Amino acid sequence: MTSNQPEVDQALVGELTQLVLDRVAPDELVIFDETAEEYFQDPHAVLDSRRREEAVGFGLDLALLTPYVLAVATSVVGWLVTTIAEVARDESKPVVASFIRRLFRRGDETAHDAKPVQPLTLEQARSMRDIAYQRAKALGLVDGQATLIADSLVGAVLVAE
Amino acid sequence: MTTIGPPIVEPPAPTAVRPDLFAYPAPTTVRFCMLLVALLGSGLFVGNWLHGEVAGRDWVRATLACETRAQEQTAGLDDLQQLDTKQRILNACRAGAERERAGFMLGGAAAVGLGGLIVLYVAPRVVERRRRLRPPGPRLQPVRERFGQLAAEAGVTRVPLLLLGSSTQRDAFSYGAPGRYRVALPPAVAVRWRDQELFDPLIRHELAHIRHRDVTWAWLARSIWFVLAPLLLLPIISGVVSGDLSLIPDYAWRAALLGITVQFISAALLRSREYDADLRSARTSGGPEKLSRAVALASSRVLPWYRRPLARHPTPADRLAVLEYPARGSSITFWDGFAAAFLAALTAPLVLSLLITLFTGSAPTTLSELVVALTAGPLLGGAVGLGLWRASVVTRTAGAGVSPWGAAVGVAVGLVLGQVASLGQVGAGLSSDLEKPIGLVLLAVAGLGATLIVYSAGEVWADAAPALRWAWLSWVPAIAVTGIVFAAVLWASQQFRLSLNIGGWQFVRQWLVYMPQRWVVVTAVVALAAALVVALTVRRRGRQTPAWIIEQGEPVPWPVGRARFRTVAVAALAAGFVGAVTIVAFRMSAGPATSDAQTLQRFEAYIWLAATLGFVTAAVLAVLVPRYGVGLGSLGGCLATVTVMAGFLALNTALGGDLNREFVADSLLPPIVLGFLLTVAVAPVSWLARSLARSGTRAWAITTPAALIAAIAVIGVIGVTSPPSREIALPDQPSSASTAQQYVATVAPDLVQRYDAIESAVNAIDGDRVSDGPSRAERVRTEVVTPLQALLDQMESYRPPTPAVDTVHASALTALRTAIESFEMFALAFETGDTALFADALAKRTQEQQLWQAWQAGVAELVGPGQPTPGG
Repeated sequence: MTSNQPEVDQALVGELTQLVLDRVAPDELVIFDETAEEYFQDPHAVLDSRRREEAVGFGLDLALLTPYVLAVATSVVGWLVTTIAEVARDESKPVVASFIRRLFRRGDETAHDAKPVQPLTLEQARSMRDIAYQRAKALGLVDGQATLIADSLVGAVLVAE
Repeated sequence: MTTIGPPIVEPPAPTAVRPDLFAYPAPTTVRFCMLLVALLGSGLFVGNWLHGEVAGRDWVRATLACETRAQEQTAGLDDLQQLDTKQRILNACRAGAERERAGFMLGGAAAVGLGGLIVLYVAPRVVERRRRLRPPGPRLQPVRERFGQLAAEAGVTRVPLLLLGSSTQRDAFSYGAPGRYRVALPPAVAVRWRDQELFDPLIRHELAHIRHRDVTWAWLARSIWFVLAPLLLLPIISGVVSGDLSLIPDYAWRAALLGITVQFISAALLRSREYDADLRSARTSGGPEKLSRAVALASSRVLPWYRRPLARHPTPADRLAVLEYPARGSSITFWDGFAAAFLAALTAPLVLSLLITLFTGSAPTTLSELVVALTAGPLLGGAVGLGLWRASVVTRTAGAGVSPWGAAVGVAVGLVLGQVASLGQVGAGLSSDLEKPIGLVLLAVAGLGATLIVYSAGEVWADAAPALRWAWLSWVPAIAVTGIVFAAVLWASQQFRLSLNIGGWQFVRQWLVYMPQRWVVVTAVVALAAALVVALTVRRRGRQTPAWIIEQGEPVPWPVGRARFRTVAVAALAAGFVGAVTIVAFRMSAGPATSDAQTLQRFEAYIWLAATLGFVTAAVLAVLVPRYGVGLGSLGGCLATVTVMAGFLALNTALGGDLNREFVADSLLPPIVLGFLLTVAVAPVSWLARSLARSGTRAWAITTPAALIAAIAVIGVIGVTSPPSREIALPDQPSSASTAQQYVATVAPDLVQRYDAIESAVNAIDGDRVSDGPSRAERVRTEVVTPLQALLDQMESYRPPTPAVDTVHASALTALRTAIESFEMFALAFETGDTALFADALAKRTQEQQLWQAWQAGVAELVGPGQPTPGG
């Protein structure tokens, strides 16, 4: 059971990341699976890749946003797991994951998910945004990108009105 | 009389015409070619070193056997003939062993080249594995399709393979072998294939690299370096392992400098090619706007100063500036001049060494020297001269000017540093160059002067651009003229240094007047003059920008200067007329020559007079005419020289002298060559002095009095007080003849006799098959070096009575010193068993033989034609 934990988390992180990318960088979704696989194999290598000057290149320094969103989403999912687990102490981890998954706004929740879900409170949403923003800044993203990712993450989960 | 000054047509606004840099071949292509030649040339050194390790002992045995055989076969010959005959026999005998050595050298170069090719073809697989490159998946099929469309638009016939990098890749790059090119895209770019302001310009940029063959050049240079670098470590490793560290101090710093400089030059070349790729991309995009937006995304990270020379891309600011004003991309910088000159000077000694080795016994050394100069010159012409001529035309479309100083200083520094650092100098140490730094100074001045002349001629040629129908009519002469000018200057400076080393300034003076193979310089002067005459003839004011240089925009009036052929001709003819009148006046006042020696003395004085007036005319034009002056000066100087000598020929004919083709050539060509070399030497000073000139000054008004002063000075110094450089002993010159004959009759035979005794000792040691190394070393020191030193001491105590005898005697002293150095090396080699040192000693011995030949020729001159030689 314990050994399955990372897989569950990765799946949640992946789902949340795709929801964010759909808003901030939809072009990158076509190679999401390959990028996520590389990221989960060695997050440090992907995020800390230094610019390399190519011999016959263009001189560009353009990175995918996906690895950064994955990193931020990993922190956010971790926080969500902790938060939900405290509320649902008696539930098993797959159930917690299911709760979290149902928090994600997919645009078709009403059609496929009959079970009601308790949305995050405004306070929780604010905490989540702070975590996302701080993590994005810590990754070296500029303020605009960090804000965009943090806002998109909050927008990707259900929050009480 | 026409005055001279700045261009009279106002330059167009910078944006009126967008010039097409691709109308000319890229000078960077030639520089890349030179880089590859330099790397392969270093392979020659590796081959030679390997030969020393593998077959060195056999080679030494063969060479010593040849020495013995030559000595035996020339035993009965006349002393003075012996040296020449011995050298010929020795060369013929050594030819086989030397060809084997040449084979090793060529093998070294071939191994480096072949290894580089293998790496070139293997590298793509390694790159793909290490960088985790993969073909784009089915979901990225539109990317492939768009890439194919852009390749077709860019005129790339074989569409390169498109690959996708890992998440860590942030820049696109091209790689691969010829015909199998690949472009690796970072995922962030691939997924934005619809973005026409990022994807399209970037792909066009990479395709431009492929179309310009940058991928081949860059990766081939890299691949060859990967092979060469470990091979260059072999001599050091071998030395450390064997404990023989004698080669390391002289070799290691050169190898390290080669490695560092190759990296700098590669990076500088890649930076230059980025501009070309940007411009091509902008052109296929219909303008620079889209690419400019993409370039703005390029990394603008500011590198520390020490890393900037190694950057492979220019800064985005520089790239944007070139995209906006392409003329900026045509500028030739210090690094451009340095790279070309350094590589040429670095490779020349190695190639020369190969040719001399290869043609031992079948062709003279002078031919090899000529071949090297005639190869290095056109390469410098293509790398620097073409660039300067292109810049002259291109910058005019933007109304800007070109400063040649960066390139000129770069060429000067590059030639000196390349000469000193060449692996071909390993063994010679720094001593030969540092003992006579004048040789290096001269090389620097020659590079500086030649570049300024080439640039200035390019400015004159640019005036004529509107009259040229096709672009090739502009750039073919650029390569041809600048190539032969650089070849002539390189050859002359090399011969000058050689003459200085062999016989000092007296020998140089003689060489300047009686220069063999002067046709090299004559060809350069004629080519330069012809190009300038054509340019001055076909240029017309009021013409418009030639269509072949326009990429975008409408033609505008072409800015041309006021310098005209008439200006040059009048200034030159005035100076020449003054020179001719001076000769006539001198001859009338001094009367006929009373001896052949005096005739020769006067003839040399006239040659120096004509040459001096040529260079005075050139200097005046250089000072008075901005930008054009140094180039026009070459033409004006030549014209002034011809005028002076025409006056001399007319006088000589009027006085009953023969006028035949040979005499005309002997009268005209030496001063033309001498005048041109003087012009090259003073070109930098003339250029710098141009600020002294007042606007509107008439050139003839300066050349006339300057020519008069110079003519009187030359006649006074050379024609009256100084003996000729080739003093001939004749009966009516008792003092000169007696001193020369005294030397020939007493000093020279004594020298030959004592030297022969030492040679006998050498032969005895050679024939000694019993003694071991240390015993032989001891014998060399006591039986050879000590007597040689005594002989040298005695010869140094002799005071030559005339400059001519001094010149000849100086050759003997140099030969004796070289012999002592050579035998001290032999002794050490016998002691240590060091074959490399043995080879160096033999090289010194060959050098010594050449010095004896020079001495022998000098003695023959002193004796005079038909006179018996001493000891005969």
